Amino acid sequence: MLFTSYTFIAFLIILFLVYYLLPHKWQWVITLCAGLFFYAYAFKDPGKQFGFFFIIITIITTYLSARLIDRNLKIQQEYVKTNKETLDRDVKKAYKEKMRKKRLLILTGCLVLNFGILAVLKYTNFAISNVNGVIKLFGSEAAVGSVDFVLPLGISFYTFQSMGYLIDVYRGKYESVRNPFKFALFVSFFPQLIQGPISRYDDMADSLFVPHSFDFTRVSRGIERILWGYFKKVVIADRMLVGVKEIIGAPDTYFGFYVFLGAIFYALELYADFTGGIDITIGIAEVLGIKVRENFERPYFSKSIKEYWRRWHISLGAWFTEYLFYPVSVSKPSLKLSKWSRAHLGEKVGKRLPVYIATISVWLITGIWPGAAWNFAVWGLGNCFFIMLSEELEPLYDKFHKRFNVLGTTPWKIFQILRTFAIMCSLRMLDCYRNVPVTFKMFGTMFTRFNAPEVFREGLWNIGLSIPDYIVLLCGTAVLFTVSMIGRHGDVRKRVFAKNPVVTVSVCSILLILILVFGAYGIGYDASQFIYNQF
Amino acid sequence: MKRRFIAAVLVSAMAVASLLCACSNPAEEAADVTMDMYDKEQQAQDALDSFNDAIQSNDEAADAIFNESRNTDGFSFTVNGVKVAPDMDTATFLSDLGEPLHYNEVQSCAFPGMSKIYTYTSFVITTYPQGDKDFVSNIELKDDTVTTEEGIYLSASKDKVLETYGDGYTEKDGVFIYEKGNDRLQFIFQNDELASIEYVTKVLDEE
Amino acid sequence: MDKKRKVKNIILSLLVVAALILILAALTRLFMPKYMGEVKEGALIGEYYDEEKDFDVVFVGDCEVYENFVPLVLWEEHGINSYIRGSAQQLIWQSYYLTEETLKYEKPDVVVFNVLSMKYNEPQKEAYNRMTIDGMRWSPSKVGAIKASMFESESFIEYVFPILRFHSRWNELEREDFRYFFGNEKVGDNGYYMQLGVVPVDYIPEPKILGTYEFGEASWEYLNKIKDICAENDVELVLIKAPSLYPEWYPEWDEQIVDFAEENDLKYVNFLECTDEIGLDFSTDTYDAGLHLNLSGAEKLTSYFGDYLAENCDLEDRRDEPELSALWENKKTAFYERKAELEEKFCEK
Repeated sequence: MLFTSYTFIAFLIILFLVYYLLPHKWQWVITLCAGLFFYAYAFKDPGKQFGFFFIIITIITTYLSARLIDRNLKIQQEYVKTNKETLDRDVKKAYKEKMRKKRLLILTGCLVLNFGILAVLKYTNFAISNVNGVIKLFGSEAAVGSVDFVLPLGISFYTFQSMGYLIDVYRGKYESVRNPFKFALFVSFFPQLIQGPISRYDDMADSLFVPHSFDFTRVSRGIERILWGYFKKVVIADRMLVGVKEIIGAPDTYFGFYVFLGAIFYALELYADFTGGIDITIGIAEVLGIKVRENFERPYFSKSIKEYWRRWHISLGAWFTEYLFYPVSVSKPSLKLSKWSRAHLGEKVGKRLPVYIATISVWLITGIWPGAAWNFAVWGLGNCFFIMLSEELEPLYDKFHKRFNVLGTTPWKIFQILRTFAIMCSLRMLDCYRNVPVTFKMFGTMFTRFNAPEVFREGLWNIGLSIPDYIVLLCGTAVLFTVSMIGRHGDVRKRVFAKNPVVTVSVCSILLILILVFGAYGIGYDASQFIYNQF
Repeated sequence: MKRRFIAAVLVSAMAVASLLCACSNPAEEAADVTMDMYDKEQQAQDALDSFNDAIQSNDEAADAIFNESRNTDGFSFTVNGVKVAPDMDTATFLSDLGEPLHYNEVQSCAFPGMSKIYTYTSFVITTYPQGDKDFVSNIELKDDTVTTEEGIYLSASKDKVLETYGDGYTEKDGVFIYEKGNDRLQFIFQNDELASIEYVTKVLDEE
Repeated sequence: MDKKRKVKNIILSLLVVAALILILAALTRLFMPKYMGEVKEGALIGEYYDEEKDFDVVFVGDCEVYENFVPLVLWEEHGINSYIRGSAQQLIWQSYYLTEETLKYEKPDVVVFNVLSMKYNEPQKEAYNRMTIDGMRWSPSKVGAIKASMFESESFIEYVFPILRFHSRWNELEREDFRYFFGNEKVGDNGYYMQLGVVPVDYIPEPKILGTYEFGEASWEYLNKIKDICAENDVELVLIKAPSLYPEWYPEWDEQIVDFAEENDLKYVNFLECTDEIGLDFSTDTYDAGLHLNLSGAEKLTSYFGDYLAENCDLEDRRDEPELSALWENKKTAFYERKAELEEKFCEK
């Protein structure tokens, strides 16, 4: 059930009605059922049904592990409390350590199991193809057959989300949830399953399980946000997609300036598609009265790559920082390494080595998270490279800024934004062409084959987009840009449209008409999948 | 009051704008509405197919991308050194084939000038229009003086055909269909002897 | 005060929603193909609803009925009040549902079905399906026709809200879409679509060899359904095959229809076998080299078939009914006006 399918829209309408018409105390149960139905629907085809059970396995194992960890912690506290007088420090410490090890064992077991499922499903074929490559290198014809797995919908998102929860429970941030069905709802909250955001339990729990009464203002705003998401997705992204696909699909025809054009189109398409999907997600949650955190903060206005990654897919970045980068950099081996390198390589290099290792490993994982392929790995390392580079060049920048006194001026800011945008577009080409050598080759043609005049003369009309298409895209992008500009100073809906529900209804009506007329959906357009769907 | 006024203005402006946009491109000629619709669909579909192929797997991508040429990945038929394949632009080879025995334009209901049929002694080529060009939709082989690229000709035995093309066929209503790229190669047998060979494009399929 | 404001807001919101619905309805009408340009065939089906539904003979089928039979000739020569419910490449299940629908409106004496569409066991082109189906009024028959004709990539809701299907025409709208926004011009004469051109038959492409000459399951199913529904309503079913030279009507096919007619005690006329008796001259009587007849050919064929109907089916001569005669007088005027108009256009070319 794609967000853009008629089935999904019918599903939403029915859900909204049921949600508010039945007694409100049942709302969380209804949401859970909707989530499970949504999930089961994705595996309705014969031969695929087993995919449904992966999420069930994750729910059960994570729930039980969290409960066990919690119980262990409680036993420990109880024990320490009741024997406060009799225990001496060392025994207490030893006991605590013993219990901690037990908890760690449970945590590790659950992490290994769940990330194991993820790894096997996502990366087996990647590993096999690399093994085959090596075999071929030695001149052997024998090859390992690839395996045909059905990648369960949103497996990364729900795995990350539930593992984050488990780690938090282990760290004692909050207590584990008692009701297994409530936990199941947290994992399977359906709008998030398709493309995130990755929510934290303590963020969501407050609004997820309590009854919500029908509040016209909130519901209509939620619908407004949903429609805005569809507008971005269906009017802009899907229409743009035609051109992007054409350019990417035939690199031997579309080189030079086309590559430049393709990169910009792709940047827009990706943004409209991804943020559109998140808008739909957050909008649905808003209608249901559930709070889901924002996942984007006008990322293309970033002035550095580092900033960009704080504003693009925020919840994922936060997850990686909190559960990967931080633990890795403060882990014992890492501290040891730091000590060793400082002693042997000098203060300057020695200080950086462990940080670099942590950064590189995080980026490598960030890279191959969306898809197991070399292009993604290179993409991750590319990001890493630029971030480290800018950090290394910091002193140089400082000198420059001091000398010319440009820092903070508007032209300089614009330059920074454009520079960041250009770097990100270039890196994203790896994601487009999905092949490392091809990407580098095509990137090269931008500078070696100058065909801009020809592209403007006729090329623009040959990539599957007509003049009216360009007009729609231009207007759509202008609207997008304006909304982003206004959005810098706070929620657009609150600022511009104030509190009058009539305005909200009018905006909804206009959006609906625009989507219905100018949307690239139905026969003649492929109801293309959200780009992050399969991740 | 002011806001409501703005809302009303917005709604009506929207209506006017959509109408204006709609008529910003009055058709140059009274071209056939529905056929235009199909052309567009087709382009979108082609773009999509090539993209999907390209991203199928990492290794295939490089090959798919660099061998991307619409007609090389399907079936083809060569006669007197001239290559003909479904979806080829007829302008590229017609003059090399010489005068056909017969030429006619066959209409189907409602759509004028749908297809052109070029009948030669040993084969028949049928076309479909797209834009102002004609593309090959079908090639039928009519006698055993011509063969497929793989050496199969009319009256060949069923075993020979299956041996040559393998068992990757589907059978529908007595027609044995092999698929490759955007093309279908169809065989019909009568008493285990090949009675019909036809190349058909998949481009015109509707699902 | 606050309450007053709330009521005001609700009323205004409702007004906005009403405006939205109105705009969407208008856009739907605007985007729907009007079939008033070159492809007029798509407008034929919808014209039936404006008629006085009291016909003696109703033709059902594809282009082989609406291009080949002239109801005016049947009236003038035999006093038979007839109508053609046909559309381009009308598939047999669409013919069935149109028959079903027609029989809900009226009980004619004879339903004439042209059997060419037996060759299609599956939907062929969405554009053709739309021509037949979009012209139908909403009824269980329309729902049946949609369900039987839909491609996998289509959704039923796209028929309920055609804007979902035709919105992509926003940049292809033509003058006709605005000109005929409030209603179509009449294109048929009791469902007959007049053609005056002449393109002689010079060469008929050799028929293709088929994998099987058996009609498909769905074709048989719906032919039986047509037979049954006619029997239930006490309407005589006459099967015909129009004398079109192309597409090929294989002898193997003809045999199956002959057998079916015999088994079920139905009349079946294959006009291909009696072109000489009809007096058809394929160098002057066809406008597209043998596919369809022009007016001259259609008049000859109708005249022949009129004699057949008068002779073999129990039909009254209704020329003595004053109201009906007056109605036909008007239709006759419209018919000749159209003819004159077409002739003028034809001469210009």
